[in-house]
Amino acid sequence: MEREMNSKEEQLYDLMESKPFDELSSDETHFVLSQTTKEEYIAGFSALGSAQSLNDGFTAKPLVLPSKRAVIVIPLYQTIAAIAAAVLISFFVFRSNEVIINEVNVPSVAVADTVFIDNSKYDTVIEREIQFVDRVIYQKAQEQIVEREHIQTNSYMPVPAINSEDITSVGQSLKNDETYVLVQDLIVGNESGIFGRD
Amino acid sequence: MFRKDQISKLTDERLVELLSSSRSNEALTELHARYSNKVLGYFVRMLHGDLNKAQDFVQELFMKILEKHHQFDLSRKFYTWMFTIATNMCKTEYRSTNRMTYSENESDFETGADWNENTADKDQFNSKLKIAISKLEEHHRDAFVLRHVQDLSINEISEILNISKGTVKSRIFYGTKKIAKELIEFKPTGEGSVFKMN
Repeated sequence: MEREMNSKEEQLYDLMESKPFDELSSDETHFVLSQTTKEEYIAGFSALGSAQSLNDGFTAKPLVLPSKRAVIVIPLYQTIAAIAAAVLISFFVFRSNEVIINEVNVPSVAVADTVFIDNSKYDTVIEREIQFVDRVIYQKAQEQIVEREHIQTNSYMPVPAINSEDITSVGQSLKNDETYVLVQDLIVGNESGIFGRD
Repeated sequence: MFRKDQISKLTDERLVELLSSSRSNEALTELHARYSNKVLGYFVRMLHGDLNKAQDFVQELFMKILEKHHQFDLSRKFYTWMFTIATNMCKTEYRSTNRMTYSENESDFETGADWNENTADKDQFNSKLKIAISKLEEHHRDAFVLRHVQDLSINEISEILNISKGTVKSRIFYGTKKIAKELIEFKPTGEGSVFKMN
């Protein structure tokens, strides 16, 4: 713990700071001499009076400032304009492009185990070129009547509508013809489905 | 914003606020212009007369001010805060070097010379005073230099050193007594002026 000044020391310091020895009153002189010597008081007073002059004559070197990083200030309006331009360009460039997602390496899953394909067999096919035009005629009657008109063309004869009688065979089977034996290498099926010369 | 001539009219505390702005260099330069010589004198006294080191310390001090300006309490005076940093720098230096030699014109003073003779002048006295200050213990020297070299008030020193006013006065008083004992052999005159010049 530092030693604090007592009141006498404080009074001595105050005098030493303010008055030279020869300007002290008789009481002050008596007090000073009771605390210290005349020479010490004079030396102390001289030191306190001269100390401030020790600060004279000093000139500091110029301040070396730290180098600042170059700061580029972009005005707000330029920032906004740049963002708007980017959005606009993006709109025109990317608007027609659809996002196509292709799944790759997707395992194929069979939806059917076995598929049977039936071969259709036709006994007799009669092909006719039939050309007709359907025309819908709306009549004033409450019911709508669709009339089919057959329009005759220059190159085709009109044909009647196809019915079951039209496609019934009217010919005679060769197997019923007695003369088939005259035909060489002719094989004819019998009732059991076996064909050949009997 | 401030023009250059307006910067010089701002208070210290306002300049510290400007250290956060883009005009930090101008504000720091202005503070340096105001206090660099004064604080250089303080460093010279506290660093045993080493002027080169004191110059480096001034530069370092203002860099610290720039770095730590956000820690400045605006209710305080700038220069008390600045001297707080400066005293801490000196304490750090003492711890690292523990050096007590004196390098400033020590040989200029001839010990034993008669103060009242023509050869004794103010410069000689000041030289001896510098040596005497340098020989003080660190805490006495700090208080003495701040009070009588830098001309700060007891309250300000109390704030800078973070000690009571009584302790400040005590340190100054005992420092003064030690200096007086060093100077007493040169018999300074006790007349109204400190020095009896030719």
